[in-house]
Amino acid sequence: MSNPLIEAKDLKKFFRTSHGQLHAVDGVNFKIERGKTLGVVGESGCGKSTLGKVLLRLLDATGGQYFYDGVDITKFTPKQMAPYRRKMQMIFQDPSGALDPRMTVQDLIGEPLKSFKLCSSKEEYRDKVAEIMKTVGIAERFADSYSHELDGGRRQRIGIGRALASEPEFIVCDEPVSALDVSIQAQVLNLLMDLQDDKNLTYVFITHDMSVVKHISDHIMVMYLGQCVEYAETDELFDHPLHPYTVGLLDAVPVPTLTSKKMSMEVMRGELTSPIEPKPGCRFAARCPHATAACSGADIPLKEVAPGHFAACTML
Amino acid sequence: MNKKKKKITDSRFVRVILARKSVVFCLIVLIVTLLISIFADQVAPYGYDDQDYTSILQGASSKHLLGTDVLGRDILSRLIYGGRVSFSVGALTVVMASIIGIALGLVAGVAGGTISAVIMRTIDAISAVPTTIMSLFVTAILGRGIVNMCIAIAITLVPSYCRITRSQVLSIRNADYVVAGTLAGNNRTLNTIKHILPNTISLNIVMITMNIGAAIMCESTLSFLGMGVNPPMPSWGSMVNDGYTYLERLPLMAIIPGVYIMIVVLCFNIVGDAVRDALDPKLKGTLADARTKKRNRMKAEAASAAAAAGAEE
Repeated sequence: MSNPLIEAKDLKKFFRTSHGQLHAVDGVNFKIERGKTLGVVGESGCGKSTLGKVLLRLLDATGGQYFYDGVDITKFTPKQMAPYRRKMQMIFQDPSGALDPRMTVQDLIGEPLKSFKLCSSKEEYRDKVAEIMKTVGIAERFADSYSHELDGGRRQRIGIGRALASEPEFIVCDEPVSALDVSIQAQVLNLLMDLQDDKNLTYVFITHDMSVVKHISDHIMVMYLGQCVEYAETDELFDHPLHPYTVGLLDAVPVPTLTSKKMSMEVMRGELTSPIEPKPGCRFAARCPHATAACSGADIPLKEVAPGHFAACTML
Repeated sequence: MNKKKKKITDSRFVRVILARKSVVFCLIVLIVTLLISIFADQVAPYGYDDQDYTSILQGASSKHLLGTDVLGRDILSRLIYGGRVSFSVGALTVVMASIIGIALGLVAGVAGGTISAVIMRTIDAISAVPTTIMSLFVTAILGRGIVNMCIAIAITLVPSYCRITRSQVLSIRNADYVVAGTLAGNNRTLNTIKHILPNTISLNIVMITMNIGAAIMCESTLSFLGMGVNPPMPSWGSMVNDGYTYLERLPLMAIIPGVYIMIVVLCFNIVGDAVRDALDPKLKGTLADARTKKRNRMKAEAASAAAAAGAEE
């Protein structure tokens, strides 16, 4: 077994609110090997984005440990983080919001090169910017444009270019395609996958779109209210979803066949319960069609149902 | 690729500024006024304290284009020299106030917590004192003189910059592009300067240009109250002060510097508005294009109206 690049142990992130503690991420464990992709799925407000920010150390974890390449960096100060900053990057959901409106395309892509001192001369800088633009597929004529003058797909390419500029090992993709047209989604996804092959990148791919996550992930973690409810390899998860929530998510994916009309579908009802001071027990129980008395009272741990396939449900 | 010649009109900033005729006009007025004041020694027909007791409180004549004051000094010359004080007070005040105010606002917005509370409460305390009283108080402590007056006026202007900057920082400090700046390897200070500061500047630019006018007015008030420049050095405000005593006998004496102040302040405000438009990348060019389009459309309408009128006849 090779060393995992990313390892989270019982990672927690709570926010203080006027009503009590909000459990955004509540005891999550996982490992990601170098060059692999972990898909994180769940609906809005389940803590996916918070998890991403904790993994990038943009937010400090409330509890648990976080190892990067075997080093526990959970409590690193900004100074200690400096050498790691270059190695971890993020691709944002809203491509226009993540690009400074006052910078041109080449300044945006070149900024990490300058601040991480990755080039020694002006010529090298210009060459590198041009190379990155070529890699992510932005024509040279846009170099002096401002991001708001470009369309969403190009903006996201700039965002990807910016993330790539510092030659990272690990990229958190926070719903990178959900703000894009379907036709452009595929292009951007393919670009991300090509880049992963070329540069041996490790991704955490956050999304609520099951069809997207199937396309790109090696492993999938299903999150519900800050907790991991199911974790498995992608194919295994899609073939044998165990947790009722996962089943519900998969049922919600539109299937373009005629026969599927006759399939019985269980549509999930209700909304997320409050993540503030959650009671012990299964957090999905309020919406679960199979909920019993056993579901409340005590937290339900993840259980290895099949090799490499974990789920947290009393039925298993 | 053919090589493009670099022309000044290629810059979008210049294009937006020049798009409106009113702005160009105001800019010219300001530049001419400024140049006249700078080269007052060459331009002014008399010195600012040349007294001519044979002609006091005279109306406009060929000898004194705008008349003379109670000591027989040429009002036109004093107006020209007075610009030196008014412009330098305007500029110096605003530079001091904006630098201090923006810096405090940035620190308060980014740091938050106790630091922010201390800064903002101090600012509240300053702005609780009326402007004129505050300036009078400071000049009373520091003594008369142009620089001291500038400091006094600047202190009263700092709160507005600080508040505006802080509120801007609060609205953008959690924006994705600021987070992205951290990921791009900037530490907090660098990130603030590179990504937060430039995006708070456009409102401040408007404030700066408006405040040049306000500072000139404030200088006038202080001079009017006798706390401004030392006589016989003229400033527009002190000239209004001198003139209002003779308002019935020689109204021009107070009205002319008053109108002059008004024109300059108005020009600063209009130019400031244009600078704001030009600095905003999201507006860049569009304003210029829109203006051109509108003008073309109006021309076309006028032409068709004329044609219709011709057809009716």
